[in-house]
Amino acid sequence: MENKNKIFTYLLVIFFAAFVGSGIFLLTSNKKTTSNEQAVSTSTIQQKNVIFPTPMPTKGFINLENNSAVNQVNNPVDLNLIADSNGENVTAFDTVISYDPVSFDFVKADSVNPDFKIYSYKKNNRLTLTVVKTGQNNIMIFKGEAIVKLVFQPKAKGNFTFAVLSSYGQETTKFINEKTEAIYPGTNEVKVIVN
Amino acid sequence: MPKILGSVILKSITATAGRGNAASTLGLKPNTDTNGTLEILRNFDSSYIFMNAGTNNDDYKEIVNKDIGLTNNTPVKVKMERIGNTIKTYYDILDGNGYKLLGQLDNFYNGPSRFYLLANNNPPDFPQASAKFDDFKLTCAAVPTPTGGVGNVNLKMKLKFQGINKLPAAGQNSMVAKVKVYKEGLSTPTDGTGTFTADANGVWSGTVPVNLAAVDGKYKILIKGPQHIQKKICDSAPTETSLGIYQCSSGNITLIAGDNDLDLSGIIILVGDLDQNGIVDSVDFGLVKNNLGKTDADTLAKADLNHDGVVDTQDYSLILAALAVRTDEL
Repeated sequence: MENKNKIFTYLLVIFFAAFVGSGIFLLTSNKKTTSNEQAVSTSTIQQKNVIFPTPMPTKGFINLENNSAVNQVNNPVDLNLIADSNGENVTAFDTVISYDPVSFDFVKADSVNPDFKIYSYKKNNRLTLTVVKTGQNNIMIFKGEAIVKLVFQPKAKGNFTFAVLSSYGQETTKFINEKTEAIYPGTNEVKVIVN
Repeated sequence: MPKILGSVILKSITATAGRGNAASTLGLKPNTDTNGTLEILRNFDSSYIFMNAGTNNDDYKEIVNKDIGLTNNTPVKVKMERIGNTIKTYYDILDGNGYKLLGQLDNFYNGPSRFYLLANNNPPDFPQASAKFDDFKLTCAAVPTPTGGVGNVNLKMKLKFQGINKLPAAGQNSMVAKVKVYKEGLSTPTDGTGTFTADANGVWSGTVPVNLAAVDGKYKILIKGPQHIQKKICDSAPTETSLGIYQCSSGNITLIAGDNDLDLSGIIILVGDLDQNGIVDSVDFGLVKNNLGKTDADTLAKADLNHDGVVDTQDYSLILAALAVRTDEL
C-alpha cells in the first residue's frame, strides 16, 4: 500500500512537471509568434528589396564543348556552344561565359546559323553573348547542335576552366521564346589545357 | 471569390507651397500564397497610374501603365486582385459607379509574387498632395512610411528620346522618367521621378522635384526613361554632334533652390532597356521582335519605342542598335 502511494506520488510529480513544462513551452512559443507577426507588419516595406531564393528550374541546356583537349600556346583554341532549347522556338538567347582573361584573349564568336546575329561583351573575366534572330526562319528549335563557334587566343601555359554561368549579376544565361518567355537552361564547364 | 491583395484611397488633400517629391510607401502583408507588396512611391494628382507585378526573381510584368485623366485632387481608390495566375487592377473615382477595370495580366507566374503601384504627379500645375490610406485592413497590414517631403529643387527638364521626332501617337504622349542627382564628391544620389509629355518636335518636358540636403556645389544627373538606357549628364545644356557620343564624368551643373530650367534636349537618351534591369539583352530584343505589327495598348507600352502607335521595323532597328550600347551609364 505504501509502495502504491509512492508510485502515485511519483506519477503526480512527473505529471505536474510535464504540465508546467508544457505551459512554459507554449508560453515561449506564443511569445515568439507574436514577435514574428509584429516583425512582418513593420518590415514589409523592406520586402521589395529582398531576393527570395526561389529554385530556378532549368530546361534544355547551353553547354561549352572543347574541340581539342590539348592546345599550343600560340594556336587559337576553338570552343563550341551547343544548345538544346527543350522544344522551345528561340527568338534570342544570352550566354554568360567565364574565362581567364589574363591567359586568353577572346578573338571572335561566330553564329553557326546565319539567321542569328551575335553581340558580344567582355567585362573582367566574363564574356557575355546576346544572340538574336534577325533572319526570316520562323521556327528555331535547338536540338543539341553547335550554335556558336568561339575562338580564344591562349597567352600562357596551364590548365584552365571555361564555364557557362547560369547568371552573374543582372546577366543571365537564357533562351527567349516567341512569347518572350525566359527559359533557363542547364550549363556546364570545360577544361582547356595549353602546353 | 477573388483574393484582394489590398486597396487604398489616394486623395490629394492640402495645397502647400511648392510641388514635389513627397513619397509614401505602403507595405502589404502577404496573404498565404503571395509575398506581395503594394507600393505608392509618390504623392500624386492620381492622373497617371502604373502597376506591375513581379516574381521573386524580379521578373516584372507590367499590368497597367496608363494616364487615366483625372483632375487634380480627385480621390481615387485602387484595387489589385489576384485569381490564380490572373491579376486585375481596378480604379474607382468614387462617383458611384464602382470599380473600372484598369488592366489585366493573364498567365502570370503562379508562385509567390510582388506587386507595385505607382501613381504619379503630373506636373507642373498641381498643388503638393498628401496621401491617405484606408480600406487596407481586411487582408493586409498597411505600413505607411512617408519619405522625402516637399521637393526643395525642381528640375524643369527638356529631354529628347531616341526615335521620337514628332508628337507621339494618341495615348503615347506620357512618359515617366527616373532621375538620380549626384552632388560632386558624394556617392549617394537623391532620387526623383517626373512625368514628361512631348511637343510636336518630340521634345519632352516635365518637372522632377528632388530634395537636396544643401543646394550648393556642382551636380550631375542620371536620367532613365521607361524604355531607356540610363544617361549621365554633367552639363546644364549638353550637346552632341552624333547620336549617343556625349559622355562625361564630373558634374558641372549648378542648381538653385526652387525651379531650375535644364534644356537637355541637345543630346539623345538612347532607348533599349525595356524591362528596366540595366542591360539590353535578349529579353528586350524579344519584346520587340515578338510583337512586330501589334498595336494594342499593353504591347505599345512595352515595345513601341518610337511611340508612333505600332511596333514596327523602326522599333526593331532601334533595339538592334541598343544591343551595341548594352548598359546603363553609371
